[in-house]
Amino acid sequence: MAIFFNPQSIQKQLLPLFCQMNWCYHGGMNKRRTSFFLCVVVFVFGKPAWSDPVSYQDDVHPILAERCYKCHSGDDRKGGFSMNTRESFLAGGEFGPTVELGDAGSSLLMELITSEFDDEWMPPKGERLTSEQIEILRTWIDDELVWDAEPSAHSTWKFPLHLEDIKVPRGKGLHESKHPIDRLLGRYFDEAQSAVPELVDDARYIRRVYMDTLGLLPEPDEVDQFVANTSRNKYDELVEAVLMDHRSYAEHWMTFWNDALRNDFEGTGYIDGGRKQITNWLYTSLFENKPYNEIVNELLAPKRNAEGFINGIKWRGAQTANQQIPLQAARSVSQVFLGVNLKCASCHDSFVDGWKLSDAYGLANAFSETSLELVRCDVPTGNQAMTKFLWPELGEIDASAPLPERQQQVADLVTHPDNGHFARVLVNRVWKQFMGRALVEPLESLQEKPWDPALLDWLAGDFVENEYDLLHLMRQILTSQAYRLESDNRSTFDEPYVFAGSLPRRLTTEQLYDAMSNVTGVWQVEPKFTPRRHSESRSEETVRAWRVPADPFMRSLGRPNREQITLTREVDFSSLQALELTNGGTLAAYLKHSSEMLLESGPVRPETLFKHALGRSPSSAEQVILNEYGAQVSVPTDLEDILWILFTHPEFQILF
Amino acid sequence: MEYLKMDRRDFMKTASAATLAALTSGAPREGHAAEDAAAPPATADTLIVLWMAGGMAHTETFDPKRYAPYEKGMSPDPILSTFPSIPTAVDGIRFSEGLDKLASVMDRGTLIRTYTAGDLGKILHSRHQYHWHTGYAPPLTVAAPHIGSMVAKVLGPNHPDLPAFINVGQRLDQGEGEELKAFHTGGFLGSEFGPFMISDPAQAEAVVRPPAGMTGARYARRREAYNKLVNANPVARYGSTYQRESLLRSMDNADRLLSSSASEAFDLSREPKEVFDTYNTGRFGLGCLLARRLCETGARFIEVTTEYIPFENWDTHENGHTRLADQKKQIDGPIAQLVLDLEERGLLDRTLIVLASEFSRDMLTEGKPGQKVPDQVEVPDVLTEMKHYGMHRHFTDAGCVLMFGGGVKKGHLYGRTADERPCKTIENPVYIEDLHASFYHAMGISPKHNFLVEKRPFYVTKDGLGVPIQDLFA
Repeated sequence: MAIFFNPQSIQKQLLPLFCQMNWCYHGGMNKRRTSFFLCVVVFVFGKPAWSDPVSYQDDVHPILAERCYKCHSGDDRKGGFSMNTRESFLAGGEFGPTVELGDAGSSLLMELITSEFDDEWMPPKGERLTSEQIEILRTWIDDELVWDAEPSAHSTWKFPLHLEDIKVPRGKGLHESKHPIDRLLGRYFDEAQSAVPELVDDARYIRRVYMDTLGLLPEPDEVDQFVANTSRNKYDELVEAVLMDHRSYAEHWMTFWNDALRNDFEGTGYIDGGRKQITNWLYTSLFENKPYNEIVNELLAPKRNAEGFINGIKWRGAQTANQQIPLQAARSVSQVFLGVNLKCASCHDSFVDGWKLSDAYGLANAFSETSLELVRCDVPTGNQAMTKFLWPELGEIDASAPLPERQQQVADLVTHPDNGHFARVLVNRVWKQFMGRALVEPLESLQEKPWDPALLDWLAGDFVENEYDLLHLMRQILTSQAYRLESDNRSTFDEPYVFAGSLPRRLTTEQLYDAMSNVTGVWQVEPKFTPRRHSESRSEETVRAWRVPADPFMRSLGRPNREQITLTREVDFSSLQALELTNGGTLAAYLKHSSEMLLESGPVRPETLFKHALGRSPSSAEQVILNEYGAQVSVPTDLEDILWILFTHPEFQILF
Repeated sequence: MEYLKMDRRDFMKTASAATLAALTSGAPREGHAAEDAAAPPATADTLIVLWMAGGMAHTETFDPKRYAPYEKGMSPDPILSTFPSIPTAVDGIRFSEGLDKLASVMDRGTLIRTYTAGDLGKILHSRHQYHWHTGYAPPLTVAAPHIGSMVAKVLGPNHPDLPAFINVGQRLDQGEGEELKAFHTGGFLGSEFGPFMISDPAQAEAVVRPPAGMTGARYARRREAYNKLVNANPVARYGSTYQRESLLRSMDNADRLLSSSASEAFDLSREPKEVFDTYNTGRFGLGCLLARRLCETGARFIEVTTEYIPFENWDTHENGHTRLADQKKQIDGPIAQLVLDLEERGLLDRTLIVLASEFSRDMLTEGKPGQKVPDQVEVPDVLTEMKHYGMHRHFTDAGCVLMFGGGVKKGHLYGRTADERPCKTIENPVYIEDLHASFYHAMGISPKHNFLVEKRPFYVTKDGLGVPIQDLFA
């Protein structure tokens, strides 16, 4: 957990500033209060004297983070001075030691932050530190720079731009496996001195593989055959067979990519032509297993029918500066493909990370017909943005080139082989889909230390070496013992997170719908998109939930309206969702119709449905409960109720 | 108000143990509580928004100006109001004809005449409605919560079995439905705090009953079998307790609402016939009756809308005069009755009722004077037909907000508009962030209350800058 997220520290120091200076969420074009004038911060702060020893984490760090880190942390060491560690703090910079331990009065730092001279005082930009903040730093130095920041390893964690070359440990890893992921995780568990979880049984393994990869349930006889199969290669063979079904794979992953690329059949913006779908291009790209770098290249230097992503969403009427399409493009590209959150920086220099207004506009300029003027918090600065990439060391963007060439240059830089973030971000996100929790969270901004940095970079490196083959990446994860580990059943988690098997995954509403359809044989109707025929696919004769616009059931159960980029869906169930399940008209009508269809071929045995839905036979206790509806059910309402009981069952709604 | 003392085990309880959510989904965290963001003492426990969807002309309702009766061949220039004005219970405050019952309760309320809508350029009603209901204009980089969701999240319901935020009257499958969906949402606060949607108040009872056609006995049997099967589930031994509990707790909440006596609040057939008839001017009128029942039982935020459908209801692109006469009939009696009923029950003092609209209308000015936006309605130089007679353009430089109860002054007028076209705000303009700040103030929520989303604070009023308008409060 980032030190920034420490609630006490935010409470004490950072947010009084934010709350006057937050420019992030400009909604309106109501110019009455541009909030820029509020740069004149009135520091409302109750606690007067710092008689208690100050805490680095709670008191000092927020000041440094907000006012100093831009130039003196991570790789930035202006004047040769870095605040990364206590040692670097003490070492000082080009001007000699910055602090005298225990003697704030003789410390250069105090001199600079209290200086009267404009060309001398620190920080050089923005407001002076408040007297409150100055007193905190004075006390801190007098107290000999107590560096009580346990998570400082976190706050100074920085991904190198390139991927690290990872040496996989020799020998065997988890459960005697030679799979590289398992060898890396073997070391991880050794170092954490934690017990390796058991492996799940084969019935649960096959269910996981089907649901995670294809978004469908395995048929009961497929489960039986797999369980009965004694071949040692059966896991690899299963994964191979599943990954052959490109259509089902593509249909399942459309949900993931539609969320990320905020693509849908309906939504805001379409009313005025302020938005364009990319459905056909996206589906085709997944179906053909187009290399990921090619996919991104076609989105950024857009191929026909892929323009919808960088062209953003335009509502009728005026747009604020940061609602302009090029700014939207800069934010979307960086968030989805680079794990960089430019939402703050597209309005003003960010307080929570190092990104600056000029970085956001530099990237946005590459997507703009005409050069953009820098606008800070809706106030034009009079300065033109300089076109540049987030990491200029990867290469330049020629500001004078025509728009398509500039887009191509951005695409080349985003997918540049030396840009390790590109692959990291993707493998991290795919890992989360299969394992419930990513190697680095949160997803929208790749900043925190991964729980196993070596595993992340190995996965990313392997992905690059295999030509950005998404199915290869999935195969790597699916065939590891790590993927087969018993799920982590903790309900609370200490920070930092420690891996102990995958987390149970709540089904997306599309998975849920499709899994219900697997059991009932009743699929959606009136699709908005029809994939090309693929006779080998198990999805051939179906209309899956992603192919229709969100109905009230899907909307309630979590299909986002895709006005924004969605990288993670809600994991909590809510009361309103439970109401939709309990008495919502959509599900009730679906169950009624399904029940009638099932009964067309005669009475139904409840345990058959049970086995199909939950992937196992009922226990004797469960069988008794099912039998209350009779061994053979022929009353339509009884069948509806049995389907409801199964479909709202935790074992159905959550993938363990 | 015994229920106010009850333990908040709550409809909202599912969201309380969000450890997994925080770990894996970037769920929002409560922001800071700096001194200047301390909660003010609440003057209201419940907020009822009565939404005049489509743009309610101020000069035709609560801010009448010079009346010019229709004559064939007249110029639109002298027409500021198409109705004569009538006195209200308060000296110096006049309403437009057709709002007689509301006029008679004006001595219980505060009228703002200077709501100034955002400058969003060429008009899209739903975008202005989004702005009004969230304080932010789309597109946004994170999903903004509806004001009802904010209130629900911060305060929870007054009655533990009820959803805190109930939205009455708006269907989402109408024109601009996608835009409407974009703000009828809990946004980043999550679905727990989203609106509980009741499109037809006359059918409200159905949303808290078993699905159509299911008897109570069958529902109970289904539920019992579910509980037994879940309890017998061997997966419970090793599956995550967290998500399982989250699901089961939610299912219990849903079940509790269906079986709670609180659900009777949704059943309008329990009203005496004469009361039902008093409110029954149509869906909106019945919505007011439903709001009264929900308020009595303990919902926290209730919105009742005349419903936004492009070119319908208050969205008058022609026939403005004739249609407004109808609209007034829809709202006048039920709202006045709602005020009186709550007063009689001793609830008005702790219930803030707010009538508002996304902007106003004028016959000639589109947008703001001096900042005109492209006309969307043709207005002839000479009126030759009755259908030309009315306020058909979108006007954003003044608008009325009528408030009752919940600590606002009684018989009070705030803000002044010009008496000649453009009849714009000339004194005490009110912007959305200050209007919201005033609502939050009444509800005991600081305008600086905020949540951390993607590490950035998101405030209940735009950028935390809303300031309550103290002059509204007694």
